[in-house]
Amino acid sequence: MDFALRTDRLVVGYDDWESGAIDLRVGPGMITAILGPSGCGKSTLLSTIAGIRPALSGAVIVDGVDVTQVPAHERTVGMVFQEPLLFPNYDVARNVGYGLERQGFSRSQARARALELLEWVGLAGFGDRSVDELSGGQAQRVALVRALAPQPAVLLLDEPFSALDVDLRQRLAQEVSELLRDRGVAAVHVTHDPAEAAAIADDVLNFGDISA
Amino acid sequence: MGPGDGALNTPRWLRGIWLIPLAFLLVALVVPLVMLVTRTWSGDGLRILADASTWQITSLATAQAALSTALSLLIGLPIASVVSRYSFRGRAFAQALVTVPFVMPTVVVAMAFRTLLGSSLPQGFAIVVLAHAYVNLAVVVRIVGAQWAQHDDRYLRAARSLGASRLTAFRTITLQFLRPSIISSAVVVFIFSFTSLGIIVLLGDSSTRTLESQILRRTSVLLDFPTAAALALLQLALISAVIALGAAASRQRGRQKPVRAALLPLPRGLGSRATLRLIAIAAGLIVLLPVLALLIASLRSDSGFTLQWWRSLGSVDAGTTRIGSPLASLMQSLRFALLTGVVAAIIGGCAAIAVLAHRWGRLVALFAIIPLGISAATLGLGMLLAFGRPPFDLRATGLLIPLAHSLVAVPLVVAVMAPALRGINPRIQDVAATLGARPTRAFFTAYGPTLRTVTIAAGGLACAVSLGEFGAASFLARTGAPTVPLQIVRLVSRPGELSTGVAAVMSVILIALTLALVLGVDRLGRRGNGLRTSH
Repeated sequence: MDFALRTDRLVVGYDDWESGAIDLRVGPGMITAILGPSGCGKSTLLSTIAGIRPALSGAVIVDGVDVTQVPAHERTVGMVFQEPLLFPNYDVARNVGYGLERQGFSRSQARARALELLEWVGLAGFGDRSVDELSGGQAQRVALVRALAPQPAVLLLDEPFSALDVDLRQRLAQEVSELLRDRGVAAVHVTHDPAEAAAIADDVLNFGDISA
Repeated sequence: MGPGDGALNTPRWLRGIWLIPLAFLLVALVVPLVMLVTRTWSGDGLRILADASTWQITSLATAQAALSTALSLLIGLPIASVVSRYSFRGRAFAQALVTVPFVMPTVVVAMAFRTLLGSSLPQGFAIVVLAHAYVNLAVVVRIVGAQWAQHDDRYLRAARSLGASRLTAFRTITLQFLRPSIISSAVVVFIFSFTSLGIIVLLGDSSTRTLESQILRRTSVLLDFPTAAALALLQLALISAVIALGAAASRQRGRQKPVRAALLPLPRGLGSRATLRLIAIAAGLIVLLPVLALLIASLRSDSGFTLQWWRSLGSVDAGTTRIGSPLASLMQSLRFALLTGVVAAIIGGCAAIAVLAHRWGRLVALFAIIPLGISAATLGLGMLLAFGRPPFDLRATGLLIPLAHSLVAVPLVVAVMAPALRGINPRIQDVAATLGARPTRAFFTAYGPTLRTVTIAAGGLACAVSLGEFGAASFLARTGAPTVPLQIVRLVSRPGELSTGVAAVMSVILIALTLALVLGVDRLGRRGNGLRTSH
């Protein structure tokens, strides 16, 4: 079976810590949740899959292609971080269209597509707004469609709801789960919240187990 | 490791960017300092250290700097207590006002004091100390005020409730809390006054000689480079000792915790309210009177008000050389300032970016701060020895002054740019990379908007530094092409109403230009990265 994302004996880490060899398999359109306490290395794993950090050893394979040595901008891997990290100097629509512009779409084409995507997550009419005008939940939704706009093969979600209050977190987790299934995007979602993992994912793994 | 998580998406050019400021500092700082040392050793300059007059000048300059520091604190501390702690209408304006003397070129301050007090106070010790206190008021108000604003009043109330009198509470609680900032502002003021040149040249007499003025005299009058170099090294050693002493003295154990305190309303008591008002008004007068005196002098002759001095700006007769009018001097200064702004912004900007990108970057940025502690005459003389004579005579190219000014301005550029860039979340660069941006594009997506604003702001500040700089320029200017501060000093030393009038006009122009630049920089700084583009 072809996996959207596969890691083969992948070892991640930084200065004074490294993980065990991680073998991760995510089928097309599947959502996998990885559970673990804060600081256990989940985010480092995602950064390595995205190409922001180098792998210490092993391989990252996306859609059957070994991308271990491919820089982040050439991988078809999107990522949503704990904070929305919207570009403050661009308005909402330009944020969403950023990835499309990098793919060669003109600014107006990217904007038109961005406005459609915003409508799809219930933010119609927000395109011209400054990112400072968004609430926490709205900003995280914008970050999500921004990551989805270039149509990545895999989306990585690094505790994207952890900064939100409980009610909003549950509602947004549900929404995101539906959105990802709707578009058939494979995703890896890391969280320390077992309820959130169960609500969103097809498959829940424990970081301690996979990196042992 | 690069910005954000990854060395992976750091642009390759960024990893080598620390080499640019390093190369600049090697050429503009290290080579001149090495030349100073070798000239001292090879030319028997060290003999001056055995000369009694050297130590006499050193002790006079120490006394002068100590008195200047004491007076700055005496005037500055009450002002700091008002503008940093109380909320009142015009507070922001008052804070800006107090900064004015600090950004005014020292030569202009000297001109202003001559104009204001010249008839009642002779040149010498007293007027020099007054002028130094004036220039350095902002140092005390800003440094001490920033700490005072964070003082937790509850410590004071606790002391009062235990029976301490108002004065004892102030002495044992407030002063203890402020001690580090008082010491560091005192160290800065002491060094500025100890190495003062522009004010000494225009307002001093034989009782106010500084090592700095002796270095200039040895160089330009006696052409005795080895002795001048030895004095420069002596001064460098003394300054380093003062900095080390200050650092040791401001260390303290068991500090009171600073808080983010809210501004206090003005006290209710009629007496204390009046005292605060009086301090605010006195501060305003202290700052504005010398400036007003200059403005009036630029518009006045023996026979009444006139625009004569302003009209003669373009005339060669009003200048100090046969080839240049005051206006030509102004154009020369503006050219130097522009070049300094560009060079300092590029070099300082590269150093500030290097801090983000490379572990060597942090070292280079520290290295770039060094010129702050080296006096203008030391830099000027070093550059003259290195690049002012064959085989490397850069004086004719007109590049030497902008080079020296850039060296002086680079630390300020780094101080403005590095914190602004460090304030940006490096993860934004990672986000851009995961959205398909190449490393360079990702870097500029994250840092570009702030970089644009702070580069312009820092460049503007460098321009202001260059416009008013006197010390280094007095070593490096060719006879035919003085900068405005040099021109002012030369005009003042000549007799006649025309010279004084034109010097006042040029001083007013210099104040206007410097203030416009500094205010512009301030506005840009406040705009910060609030830039937003949609289309």
